[in-house]
Amino acid sequence: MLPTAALTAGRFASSLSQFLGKGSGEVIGGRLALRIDPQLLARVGRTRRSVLVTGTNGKSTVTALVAAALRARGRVVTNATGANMPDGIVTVMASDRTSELAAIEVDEVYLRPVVDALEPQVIIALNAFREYTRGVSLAATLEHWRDVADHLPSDSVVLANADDPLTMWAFEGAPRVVAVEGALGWHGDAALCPACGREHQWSADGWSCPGCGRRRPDPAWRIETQLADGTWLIEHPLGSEAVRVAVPGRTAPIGAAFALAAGVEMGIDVRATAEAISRVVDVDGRYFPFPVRGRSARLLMLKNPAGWTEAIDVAVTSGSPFVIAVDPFGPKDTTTMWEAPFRRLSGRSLPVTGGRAADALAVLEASQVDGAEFPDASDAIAAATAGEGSTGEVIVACNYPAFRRLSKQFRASMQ
Amino acid sequence: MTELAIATMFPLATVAAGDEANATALARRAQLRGIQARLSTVNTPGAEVAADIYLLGGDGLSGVSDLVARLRGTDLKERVLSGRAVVFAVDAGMAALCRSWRDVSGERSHGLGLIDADVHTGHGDLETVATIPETGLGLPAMVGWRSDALFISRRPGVRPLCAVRGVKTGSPWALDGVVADRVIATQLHGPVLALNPELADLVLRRAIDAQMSDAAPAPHTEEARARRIAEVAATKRSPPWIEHLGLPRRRRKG
Repeated sequence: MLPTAALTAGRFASSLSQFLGKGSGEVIGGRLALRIDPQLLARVGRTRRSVLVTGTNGKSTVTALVAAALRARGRVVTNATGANMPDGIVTVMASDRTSELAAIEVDEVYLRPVVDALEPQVIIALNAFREYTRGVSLAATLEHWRDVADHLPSDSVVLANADDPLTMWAFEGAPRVVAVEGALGWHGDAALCPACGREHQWSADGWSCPGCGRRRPDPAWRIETQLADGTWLIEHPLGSEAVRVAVPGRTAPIGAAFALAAGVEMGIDVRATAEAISRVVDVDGRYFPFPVRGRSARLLMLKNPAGWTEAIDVAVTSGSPFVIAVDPFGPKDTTTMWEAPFRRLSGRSLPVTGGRAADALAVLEASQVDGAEFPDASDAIAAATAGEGSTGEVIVACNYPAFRRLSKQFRASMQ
Repeated sequence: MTELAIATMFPLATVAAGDEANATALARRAQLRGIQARLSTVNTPGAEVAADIYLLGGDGLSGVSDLVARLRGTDLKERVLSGRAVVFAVDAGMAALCRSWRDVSGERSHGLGLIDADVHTGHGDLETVATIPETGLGLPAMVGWRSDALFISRRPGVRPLCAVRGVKTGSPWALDGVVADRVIATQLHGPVLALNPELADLVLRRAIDAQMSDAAPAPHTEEARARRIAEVAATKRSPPWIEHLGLPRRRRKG
């Protein structure tokens, strides 16, 4: 079947969704189009050379950096809005039929159909944490990835996080694996070796399994240090490269290392890749520093204990003021906060805002940290106090709906 | 008792639901009474764990067979049956403690047998629920969420923990969980012991022989719970005659 009929029906559904105020319509349009023509994603996508980015945390950021890196070579189609399942990806691919390169974020449990359709050159596997929204077990996700690894194109490469034993195990069967230093701030989900069931041992050298002998590989791409001018020095098989990344915390060098590696695997000069990455200033509103009441506020979107733990770590190590913004989106909307180490912020008074502020205050109460509710997010940001050595930039830790609402609100106030 | 050993058992075997925070919630309620708690998370099968309170959790039936197999390698059952330990189990953990459980394919498997009940696959509606106060157990109206991925059939003489009301347009009340001398189970996640300190106190009372003093109030936790209960109470329900028509349930967004 020609893709035209399926695409036309999908576009009609998308337009209808927009007209009815139900959202951008990317997902519904793509779903209908794929129902009409199940091979549509392959038809509109396989002609490009593509990099897929998957993992539980950090996909959007790394995808944006990879897209920037690929632009050093040519035009790039990317799903910057985060529609990362096959129905969203097909819509994005269909909307741009001319770009020869693709940087695509893929939901971790939909990797196989996207790999089969696009036959990518590079797959970036960031990490595997337990997810709390869909009831999919981590074991099922890892088995899915093992299956993907067995069916990858023979000329493809997987850039895998050397610091995550689960990710490394899942892609063992891939035609070629290159280890990248990707860090793992939260070891709880990777406690057991997925190969033999023994408990991992963790040391300054990384993880190792006393049962089967698997251990952290020496990464080919390694984060060396942060230089005085704020750039990160990434060591790689060809030398080292300094990269500037407009992203806070450890996410910056990790994303840069993966994006540099992806650029080189796609045949782009490493210096040109680094320069392209350094030009990124925003990732879907995630790290853009919004001016609010004379302060600079960065929004972080957090969806599991690993994410909250990372955000708290950034606040503690940078001394940055910290605000919690949580809105309602179903029964589990604040569940993941309870396992995060908020006690590390004791001694501060944290402003909280949003429709689930009461839950956030209860979490802080249980962690013996002071908190105060502000109905208006701008008031909360203005009230945030800094820790020692603060840069003054306010971290606004959000759940998903609060992130969407505040990015929209602050973006509008800038125009 | 000078130190309370609280062990979270095999959390990686089941689907994550935030239940691991029940351990810190329980420890905090103990510390408010001057009792120090030693927390551990047990992941390795076959490890000896001499805990005073065992905690189990997880969402739905995924991983229950693995959980049961791992629990059989510990002395949890013996310690509970001999009165040396208490077990508090949520959802998947509760299924593991029952006599048997049946998965989606209909295959029946044996559980640990600490609860005289059988578990079947449920209808899988995710919802926030509020409970009816159980004054006999010292429990006020509590709050939590249930995925209802499993359904428990209690044998005669097995006492449910409480009754719940959900936000969905379905049967307005359902019995939840099990309470026995040294076994307490529920399908409520939240984490339920963090959102409902009185339930944490009930678990503690079963594990501590001495009389427990009142704990300091937790006003923010009270407020968070009150707001969720108010949301459940404000949910519009279908008239009973509509519910009896057997029409597909209208899922509430959010």
